[in-house]
Amino acid sequence: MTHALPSDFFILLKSLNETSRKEIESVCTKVSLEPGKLVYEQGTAADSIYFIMSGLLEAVTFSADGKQSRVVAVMAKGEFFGDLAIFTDQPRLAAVRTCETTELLRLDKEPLLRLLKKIPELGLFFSLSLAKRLYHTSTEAHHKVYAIDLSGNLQRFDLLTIVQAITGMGHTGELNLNNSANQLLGSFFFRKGKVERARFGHLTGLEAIWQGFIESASEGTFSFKSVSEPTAAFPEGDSKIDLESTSLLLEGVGKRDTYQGMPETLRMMEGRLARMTESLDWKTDETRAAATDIWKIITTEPKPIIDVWRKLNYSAISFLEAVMEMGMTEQAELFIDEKPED
Amino acid sequence: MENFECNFFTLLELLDPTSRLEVEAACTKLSFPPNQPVYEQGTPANAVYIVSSGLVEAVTQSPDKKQTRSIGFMGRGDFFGDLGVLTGNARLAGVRTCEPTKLLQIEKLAFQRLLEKVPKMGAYFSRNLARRLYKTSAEAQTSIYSLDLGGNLQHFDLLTIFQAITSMGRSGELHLHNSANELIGSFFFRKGRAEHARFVHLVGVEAIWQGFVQSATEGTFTFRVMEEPSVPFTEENRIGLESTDLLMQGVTRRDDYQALPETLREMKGRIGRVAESLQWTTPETQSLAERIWELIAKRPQPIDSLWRRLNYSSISFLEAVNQLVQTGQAELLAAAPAEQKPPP
Repeated sequence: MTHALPSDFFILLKSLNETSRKEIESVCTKVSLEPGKLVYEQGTAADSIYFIMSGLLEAVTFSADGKQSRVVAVMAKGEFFGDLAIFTDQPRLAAVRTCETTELLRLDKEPLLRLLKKIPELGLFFSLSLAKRLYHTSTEAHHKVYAIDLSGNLQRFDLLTIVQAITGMGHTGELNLNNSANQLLGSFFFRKGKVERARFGHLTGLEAIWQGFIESASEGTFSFKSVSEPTAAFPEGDSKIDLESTSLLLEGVGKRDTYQGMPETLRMMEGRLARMTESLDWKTDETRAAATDIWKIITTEPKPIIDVWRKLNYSAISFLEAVMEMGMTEQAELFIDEKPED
Repeated sequence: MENFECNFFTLLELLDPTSRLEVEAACTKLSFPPNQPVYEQGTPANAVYIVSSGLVEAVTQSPDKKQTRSIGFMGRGDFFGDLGVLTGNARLAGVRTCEPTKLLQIEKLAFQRLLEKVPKMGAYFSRNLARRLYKTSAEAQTSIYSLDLGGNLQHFDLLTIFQAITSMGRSGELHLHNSANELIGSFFFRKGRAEHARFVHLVGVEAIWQGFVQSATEGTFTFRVMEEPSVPFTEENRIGLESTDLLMQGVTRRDDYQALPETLREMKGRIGRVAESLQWTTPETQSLAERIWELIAKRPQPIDSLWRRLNYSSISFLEAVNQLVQTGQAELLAAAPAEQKPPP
């Protein structure tokens, strides 16, 4: 049935007889928009639908308090949008804005409804498109009901609490964290309640978990599903974790508290780190590896501390503990560049 | 929207006579007994259906077929099966009858021909589908922003969920739904402390114990952050226990429940008095024991119906029942024989 009709509006137009085509074209208006322009806002009344002639747009939704947003679709040439609110007489579900220079064909509600009653191909075209989208949305919702075992808001439930719940139930499966743009922030694989593999930001292994624990009140979502083997790409070797769950959670709480107790300037990772001595003399076993790695990077010249952190596989807490100790033992110093005076 | 009707029979009336005859000619009348599948999930979609009388239910199954969810009921004038036919995909859900049902069936090709010939059909379906898609999308959107914690009850039990909400110190409402999507429990937390609870026929702390002992049931849970409960609770059922005590006692009660003999946990059979009067030495269960004692004063009573009449979790209730039996004051009896029909 789907083959009967094109899914691209402009191909549909070409396939119609001349009378129908001219009738549709006569009620369409061309609209040109620069990048970053709003076509319409979420929650506003709907009076037109739009066909994309060229360019790129994204549909964005906002939470009721306006504090959170998600990109729900990216649309390009041949696609159309705005039909849902028109056909249902409801306010716009999402806002639509241009990502680049875009040309649209606007068709207003009144002529559209009039033409629908006259040109059967038009109704068939919208029915097919809507059915396809509804099938997709329903499949996803259906999948989510059965496949997602735990999900929620990271701002409300932090990683430590989530790990505790999964560990307590002894589950095998994968936990994914996504930011508000729906990009994957991190993945954790559990086997019988024990974290076996972890990735978070640029970090892997145990350090990825510490990083997740200390910065987890970030905006985004989490979802856990039962799978018997990891589906995310975990690098071999160093992402594997060998710590019992109880120790992991206890150490995690300790690290989070230590991190919270650090001066804010340090946590912000501002300034540059410079050596003060010729060679490194280190007494603490736990931080030796991090200190040695940091020392190597700042050998030739002072480096912005944030760059040093990004180059290494240490969580902010492990990294900053080593930096603090370097400072206290007067082997390195952190300095903020003075702004040049006018 | 002007003149828009969801009901198929109203649409028929709006068509011109020629189109109406054409639509009617494409329809085949079918009759189904109750509880009969119209089609199964995953099968090819060959026809669309309209309910002319009766009631059908759409149900989805998990890939392992172990879990099911009811996704909706359809009555006179409602359409179903159009998604699979229009997209050329397999059936998303199974549909079965709930009562004797009469359906109109339109074969795929005939349906396609109608859409191509009768513009009002296309307009009708565009609006009908748009309405459903709008609802689904709006729901998905709401759940993205307002669902703070959600999941599968079979994989995450109530005790674990309580622990998470408590340790985050959240205020909000936790809802439990069974697989038919019916609300079976509601719990309100203030700053991480459970303040009010409802579960099956129980309220207050007994509702929580019940949730803890039977929580590996099929269904889902959702938690939303809010400052005040969305459904009012009565003051007398406010829960007085601190979170730590609640969780610790919960674990103990769950273990105690598991240790009860299975025959007792199934609540089959009846309980009847053996002693003349009640001798009770456990102050915590005194009032419960007295209530049971009162209810079985005249004759033995079925255990499960006793439980449903009282506001006690099955663990509290069965412990008292067990103690009554162990102390020789009451006895367990087989279920009453089926009642004999009075002679005509």
